[in-house]
Amino acid sequence: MATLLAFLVPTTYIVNANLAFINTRLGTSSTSVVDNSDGTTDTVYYKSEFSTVEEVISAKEELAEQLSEEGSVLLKNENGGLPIDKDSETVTLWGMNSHTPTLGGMIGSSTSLSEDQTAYGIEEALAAKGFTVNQDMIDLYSSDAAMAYARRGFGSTGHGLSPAFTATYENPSVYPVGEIPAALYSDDVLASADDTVAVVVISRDSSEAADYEVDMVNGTEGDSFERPLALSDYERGMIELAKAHSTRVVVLINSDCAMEIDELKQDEEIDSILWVGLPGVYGFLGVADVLSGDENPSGHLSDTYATNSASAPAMQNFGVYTYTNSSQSDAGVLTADNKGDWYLVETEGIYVGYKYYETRYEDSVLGQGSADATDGSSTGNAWSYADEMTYPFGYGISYTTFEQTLDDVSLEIGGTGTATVTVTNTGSVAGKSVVELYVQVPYIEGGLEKSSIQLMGFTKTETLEPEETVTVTVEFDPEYMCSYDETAVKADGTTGAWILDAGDYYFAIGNGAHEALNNVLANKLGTTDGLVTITSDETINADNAIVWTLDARDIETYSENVENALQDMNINYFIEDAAEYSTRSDWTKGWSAVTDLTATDEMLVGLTNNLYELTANGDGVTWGADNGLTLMDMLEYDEDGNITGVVDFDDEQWDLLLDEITLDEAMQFIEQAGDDFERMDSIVLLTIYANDGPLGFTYDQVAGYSARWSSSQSDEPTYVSSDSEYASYSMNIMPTEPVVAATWNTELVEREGELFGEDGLWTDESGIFAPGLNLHRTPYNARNHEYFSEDSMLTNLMGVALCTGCQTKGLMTTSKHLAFNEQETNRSGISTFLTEQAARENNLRAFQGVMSGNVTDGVMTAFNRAGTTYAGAKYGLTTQIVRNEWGYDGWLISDMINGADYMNWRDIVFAGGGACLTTSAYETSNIGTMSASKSLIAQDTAFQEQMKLNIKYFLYNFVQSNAINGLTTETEIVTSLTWFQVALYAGIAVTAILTLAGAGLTISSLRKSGKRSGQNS
Amino acid sequence: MTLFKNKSGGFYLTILAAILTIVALVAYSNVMYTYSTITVLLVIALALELLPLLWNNEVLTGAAPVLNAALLASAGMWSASVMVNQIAYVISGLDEVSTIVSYIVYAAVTIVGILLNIAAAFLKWEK
Repeated sequence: MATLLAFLVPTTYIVNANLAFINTRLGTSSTSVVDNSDGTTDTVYYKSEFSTVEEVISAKEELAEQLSEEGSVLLKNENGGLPIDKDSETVTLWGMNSHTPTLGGMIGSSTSLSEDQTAYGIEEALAAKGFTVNQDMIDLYSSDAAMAYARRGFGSTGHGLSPAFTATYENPSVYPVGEIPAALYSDDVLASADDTVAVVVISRDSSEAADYEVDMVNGTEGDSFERPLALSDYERGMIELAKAHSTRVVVLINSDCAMEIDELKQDEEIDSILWVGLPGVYGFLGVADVLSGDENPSGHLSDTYATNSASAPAMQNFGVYTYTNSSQSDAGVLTADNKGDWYLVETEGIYVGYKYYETRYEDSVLGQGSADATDGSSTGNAWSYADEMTYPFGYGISYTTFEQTLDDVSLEIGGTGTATVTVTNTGSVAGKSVVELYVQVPYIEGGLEKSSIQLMGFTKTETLEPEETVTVTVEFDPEYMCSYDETAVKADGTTGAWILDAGDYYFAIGNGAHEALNNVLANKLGTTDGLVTITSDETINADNAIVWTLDARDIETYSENVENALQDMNINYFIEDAAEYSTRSDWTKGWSAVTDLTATDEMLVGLTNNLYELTANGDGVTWGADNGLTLMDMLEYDEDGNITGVVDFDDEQWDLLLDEITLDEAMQFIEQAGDDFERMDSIVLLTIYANDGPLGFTYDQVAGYSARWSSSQSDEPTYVSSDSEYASYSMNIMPTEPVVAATWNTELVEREGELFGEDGLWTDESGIFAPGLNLHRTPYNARNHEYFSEDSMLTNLMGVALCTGCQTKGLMTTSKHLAFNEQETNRSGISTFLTEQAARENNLRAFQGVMSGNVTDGVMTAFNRAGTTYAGAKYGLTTQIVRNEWGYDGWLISDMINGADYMNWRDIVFAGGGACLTTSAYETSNIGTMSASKSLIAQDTAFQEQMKLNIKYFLYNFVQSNAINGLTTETEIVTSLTWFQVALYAGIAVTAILTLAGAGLTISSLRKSGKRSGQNS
Repeated sequence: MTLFKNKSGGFYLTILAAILTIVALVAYSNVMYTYSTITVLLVIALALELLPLLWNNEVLTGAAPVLNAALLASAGMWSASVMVNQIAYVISGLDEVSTIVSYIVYAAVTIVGILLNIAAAFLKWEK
């Protein structure tokens, strides 16, 4: 009994600590909502557009397929390679990875499904769409001999990466491509492919917590590659066989990490190349329609396809770099708990992706900046754009052809901008055309770094029939033309400003960044001499560039409240000349890896997590007041009780509400924001559920539509019972973000957000940890599948579209990861250094749209440090930029606490970093829990005031979300014990009584025994 | 070896339990998230297992296995309270199994130790 009692007591503690999670799994509830209103108010404030969950699922499947149809990018199509006539032609699928393709990533963007759902790989999709497919080849790849070569990493077929959450001091070294040797193809199998169309699948997978590395070796036995994103020898051998035994060869690129495929482009026997990315559960159905011509491809690349991605300046500093005084060194001053051993210096400055290749291209044309030096040349010869580029950012072709004419550009500084473009379908089949608008801002040689071309906006036409013409407009915000000048001194005396230099601004359209830049150069130079084209369909048209002139330099219009906030993210701030950055004034610079840095005393403040301390100050704050308000009182109502808005963020009524919260509730809310947001009975805030991730709610966290419902909610219109056919249906079915971005169709993306919102309504979830808005700094980041693009504006606009869609259904988005998380290796704690200009123009601009527009309700901060300070506690970022400059009124929340001392609640709260995504990580940390520090906290007025402010941002958004469905101002929360809590408490009572009784009997027995012994003696 | 002279099942099971408690202590020192309280509980359990070997007292030999089982059960469950999240991460594919191997070893050894102590409580020490 004593043992059972000893077991039950801590078990009850654990159960109570994880009650909300257990309730979601058992369909139980610890609270009930009692509505004391007259019952006349319709409390379903956010309504579904569907009648049944089956309709939601059907709409999602249809959209998922459409996203892949429009997100697949045709890169090459010669000799009638595509489309395939599925009525008369037979397809042979080539490549082991046609049998084991990658549909999503591992962990956050996985495509885990329930047992009764079907995931469509390319084999299943072609069969479903009525293709005749060579079964002999499928049988070969299904055989044990071939499957022995398949990628099966981390327990998942189709994956070869090895995610690691733990610290590492060595770069990842092995990646298995998973291709089979040519010797496995028998003569009979090869003969079966004769006279068929070859569809070759080349694949690389993706994963959270993993990266590719240039020096990796191929883990597939007998195979090798020069770099993991280049073709392997076995892949080349397989392609040679496909060419020899097929009528035509079509290559599918199944990868979200830009591969090095120039040899496929140059190979005349390769007829077509179609990039499909990682298309999710239903995406290959859309790809099949593109292959057959039932759908005309209209996607454009969301990344640069370089000949050798390792030649980019960003790749010179990528991977593991350890401080000389790390915890691993003899003279180490850092400890494992600091999680501060590593750093990364982004010496490329603003020159990421196309901003590097196209800028250096212009400089090579103009003969400036030593652009033709050998530094960065992948051939060893003088740098040449034609050598370095395979397919530029924004490129994509169609089964038809389009003519685009830039008619007009108008803009007003401080206002809006509009470009007018006429598009004509000049081909023979119907299709959609993407209009991409770029700008070149004036560059002064040797002055502020400027990209020679940058995306401003885009639109996509509806389907145009042959010879049909349409005029479209591209709206853009002139704010995004600005460059950030860290040295500019504004009228108010502060330093740092968004600037527009005086001079000519060239707006241009084009099929990708390169064509747009060529149009600019043709217009600027008055000739096309010396301009380089790299694809056969490229045109150069000087008239597709329009000049707009700014007479005087402007450093004020877009600089309200702006000042330098990230100067200490430049390693040279701490250590003079530690890094040499890329510059277009001299392209021979910026090619050195920054190694052997020693953290200085000034750097150690952040690296040892000593940013703030709790002190006794101020007169205290009010907690637990009885002001008679509930969260629902923070909404505004008309005479009929309909919601008309929310109480202004600065209204003192919010203060009265916040005063009602108890300190215990506030601490619990902040330090236990994992799995769910804790309820606060004092203001009638119910538990709010929010989960990952970018493809839809992940199956690992939300295991089906019924997972979050309790039976007491069965009268809600979107309730899904555990008996439903779709109770355990997985929701994470959408294509990955690079595919979504490649649609260049914000309407589709907004629709994706709406359907995420529908999932929220039908699964009782109020928040989703999406979208991912980090940039593809290099193709070697294996988590690129969770982010849209290398480009900040494409990311910015896609993020706005997705979040807007979610908001219409009351689903709160948590965009992630703010900021600078462009490498997964040692992401927990790594010091990321870059210039403030690069941070603001690239990394932060990607978040700026959703945050300054307040279309995202929350933002998740990154694991890494921003400079030497943990990103979630970087005041310049979490307060100065996002609050003071952008006016963001959503919440901030940490990522999963993985290193409780550097991601500590004290620094997070003080810096305005919001709340902490954990339930128990602090219990075993050096800092301990907030509860354990309650007496200290209660003395620190400044800290408590910041706690309240952080919580206020959550509440302000909660009350505008689907979390208020079912609530009124008269609602009360009634708490009760669940059946398992009752059982546990009863068990404790019974075992305690029996233990005491047993102990009593034993003592009595021993006494008697002792007396007998005494008498006997 | 007078220590082992005329000893019965309870004695040997207690020795085995003591060995397992040492193993549990070592394994626990390698667990990802730990409570110092757990270590204290395990040390007390080990002391209670060893003390009757040094001081053969009827009260001790009778009460020690009962107390040990309770201590180990308590140590096992309290240690779980800070590992729940990590275990969930592994089950969800968010982290590697290697991060909880020490805990699994510790938990398994502790469970066997509890069972041995319970069995020992029903057996005599002397023949």
